[in-house]
Amino acid sequence: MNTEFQELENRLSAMRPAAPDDGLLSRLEDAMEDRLALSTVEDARFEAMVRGAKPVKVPAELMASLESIVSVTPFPLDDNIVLFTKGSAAPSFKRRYRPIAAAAAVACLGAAAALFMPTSPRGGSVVENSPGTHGKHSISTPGYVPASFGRNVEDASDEGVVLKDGKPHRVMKIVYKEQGSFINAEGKKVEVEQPRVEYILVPEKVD
Amino acid sequence: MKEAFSPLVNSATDLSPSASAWRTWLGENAPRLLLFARQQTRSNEDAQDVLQDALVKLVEKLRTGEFVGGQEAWMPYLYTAIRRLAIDLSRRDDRRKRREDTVGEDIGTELQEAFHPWFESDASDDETRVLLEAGLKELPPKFAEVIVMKIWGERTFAEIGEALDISQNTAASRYRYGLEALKRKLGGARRKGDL
Repeated sequence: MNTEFQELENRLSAMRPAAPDDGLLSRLEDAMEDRLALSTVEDARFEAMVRGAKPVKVPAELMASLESIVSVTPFPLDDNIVLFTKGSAAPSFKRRYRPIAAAAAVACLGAAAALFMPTSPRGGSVVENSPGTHGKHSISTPGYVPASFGRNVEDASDEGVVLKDGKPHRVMKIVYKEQGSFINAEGKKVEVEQPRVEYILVPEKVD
Repeated sequence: MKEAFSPLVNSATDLSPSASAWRTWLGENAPRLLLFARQQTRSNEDAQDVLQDALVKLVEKLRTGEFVGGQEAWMPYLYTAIRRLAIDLSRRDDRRKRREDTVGEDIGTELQEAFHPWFESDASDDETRVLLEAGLKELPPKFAEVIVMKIWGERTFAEIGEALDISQNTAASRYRYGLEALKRKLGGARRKGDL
């Protein structure tokens, strides 16, 4: 038994480990010299050839599915600015503070104030129901005076967060439709309407 | 009589700024991620599932504010997520296969794969594409995954190492070895006259 063992041991010890192939040796040398990540000219040429193959485009159904996955997620441009989605102006996690509602309320108050504000001697936004008692009006058509003015909030959207004076502010975009009517001495009435966009900065609540 | 003044702002586009930004981002990166998912999974369907699941994970983390890092960290995260999900899926499939007879299914999967190439078809160099794809599929996965991440994912060896949980040097070594093996395969095809 011992003889057999000895013979096997002799045969095994007579064997020599195979030499590593040139590729492995080259990689080992490159690793030792910290050159492993560098490509040779030949490698770079081959890489360029391989890179010429472009991955297949994502099928339309898959792309639609991927877009639906991200549809309610705001796209962050960086740490401070986030692009919000149309459908969900704010992230879906619980927020007690509602900047859209706040901005919309500000806008509605503005519109209401404009409606009920009495005629100012300095001019500006005026609403008049009786065409007899007015000051200067900006309408260019001669003989016409303002008869009524109104402003409706058409849309309010959350445009993300910006830093102002080092403090986060939510940018609210308010789209109004201003409507006014003008009347002349003959009782002829002209109605005009004009879209108006305002951006309101609402201080963001920081916990 | 009603007169409308000219609008002060352009009418809104169909897509919100966020949706538009996501579309651009996905347009650029989804093909790379899908290719990686294809390399990691056994079928086109599995790859699509894994890609979607990985994106869901990213989105959940973004929405809950748990995600650490900016946009530049999304791709490394997604590569890691795809790899982990593919491993999980593979384990589940192995268990299922032990329970079921799937000989017919395997043949079906192979046939299906032929209809879902990994790379864009370009008539001028279609043979190279076919051989390249075949060569990548024949490579041991640990080499192929590094090549896919480096060449088409444009990741650094450090990023690849982090995603695959290996050292940067190992990633670089696997890349070099994989590329040499791929070159030999394509060279062999050229000598045989296939190319």
